[in-house]
Amino acid sequence: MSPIDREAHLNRWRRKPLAEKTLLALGLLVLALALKPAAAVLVASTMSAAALVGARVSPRLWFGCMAAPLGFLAVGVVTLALRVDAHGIGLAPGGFAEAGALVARSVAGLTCMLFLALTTPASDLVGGLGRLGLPSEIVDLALLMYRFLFILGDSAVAMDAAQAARLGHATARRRVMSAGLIAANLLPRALDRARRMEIALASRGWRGEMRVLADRTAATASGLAAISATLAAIALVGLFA
Amino acid sequence: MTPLMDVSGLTYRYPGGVTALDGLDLRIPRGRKLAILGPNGAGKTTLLLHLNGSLRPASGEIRLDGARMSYGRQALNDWRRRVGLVLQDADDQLFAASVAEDVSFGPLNLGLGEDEARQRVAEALAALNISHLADRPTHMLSFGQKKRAAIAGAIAMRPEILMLDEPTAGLDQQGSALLTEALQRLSDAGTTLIFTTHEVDFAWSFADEAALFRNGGVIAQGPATELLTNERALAEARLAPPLLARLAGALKTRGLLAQDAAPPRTVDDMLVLIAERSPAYAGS
Repeated sequence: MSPIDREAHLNRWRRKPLAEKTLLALGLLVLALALKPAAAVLVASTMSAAALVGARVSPRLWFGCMAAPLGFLAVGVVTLALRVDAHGIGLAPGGFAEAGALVARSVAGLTCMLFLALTTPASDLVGGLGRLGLPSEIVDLALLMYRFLFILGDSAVAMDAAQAARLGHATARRRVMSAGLIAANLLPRALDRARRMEIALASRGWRGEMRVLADRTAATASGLAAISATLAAIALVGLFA
Repeated sequence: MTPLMDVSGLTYRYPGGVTALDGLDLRIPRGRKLAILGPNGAGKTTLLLHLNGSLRPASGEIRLDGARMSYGRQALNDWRRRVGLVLQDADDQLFAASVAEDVSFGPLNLGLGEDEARQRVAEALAALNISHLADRPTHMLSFGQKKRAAIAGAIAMRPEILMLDEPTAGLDQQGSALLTEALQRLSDAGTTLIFTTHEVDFAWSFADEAALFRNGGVIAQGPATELLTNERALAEARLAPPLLARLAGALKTRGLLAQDAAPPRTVDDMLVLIAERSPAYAGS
């Protein structure tokens, strides 16, 4: 299973109300995009503090997840800050300010998404969408797919190891062929499994609706108030600082 | 006494024409632990799928408590409430985000209220000794834990009969021991157990009734201690006698065990028998 999913299940804020976590992350995201870059810096620090100190997300994972997007960002920033013309390479006018704003907003947005991904399991998020009115057929399917991802992922990893053991990765060409074979094999396996799962569901009295008892913590007034206050404070700083 | 479930003349062909069950007869006595023994690929799983109505036979009938089972929607719902099924691969039946959520699926499908369902979930988890895993996501469980979670999901519906397909396959010794304990508790509480296996030693130590499966039919059925010492019947089903039974037989022919000694189901039973015959051993 992926380290992100593991962290989402095991962090200290796993049981915090979904509404509070999404309000905080999405609220801050909106502020970071709408207000001045200074506010974005505040957003990034708030989110990082919430994730690392509040939810005790592993710093290694937190920064590890940031590495790839930051790499893309670095490339983008260089093209903003520099100018290539007839005189050769030079600094673009106003390029630094623009690049700085881009970095601040991007990092802020990234921390908001990461916070949500690392403190809230995907199944909680989908379940939340269901309560907001997403049709139950879509929610059930999404949850089953979420579950299937891990099962098929495990199968794919096992097949890959088996191929490697028989020199399926010996050359680049062979590696591509091996990957194709895995893809071709996963489909019938997935169908087989789906059929067995259908039998299992029917054996447990399934009548077309996936109902389970989910233990949810309801959002608290104090929690929502604290989050709103945080959002308001950052908004004020962003508007007037 | 009429058996709890009575299967007669069951015939089933896979799409494509291969005959899986061929006029199969089976009696499932109430409150017992029935082992269905046979080699891999003999059709044991196909049989279990018939016993809760998941597959419909081409001919033959299944009676539960004397009443012939039918395949209407309502009848099937009722059937599956009374006869639970645990598949060999637990991943096939765990689908919810957490163990407790998954176990609640069956009770809610029975139309139980939230409190009652919650109660059933707690009971089922306690019966399998996995209450501490209630909030664990199902994909973060070990193989043995998944197996017990899947069984909890079945017993939360309080079936009269619980069917398990190869329950010990792939389990390590501890996982197997924990599972056997849990199944014994269920049996003590009155649940009739049916399980398929190709492990004669497991059937010998755990089952009280056995059926030998071969070529789509049951070739012999009877009390485990009798049937599993019947070498001819076992050979016909391509199975070897249980180790403890063979050992006891050999010791008897050499006069090291009493001729009328009860068959030892466990190593401890065997040690007691040896001690009875050889005081020197008991003293050592």
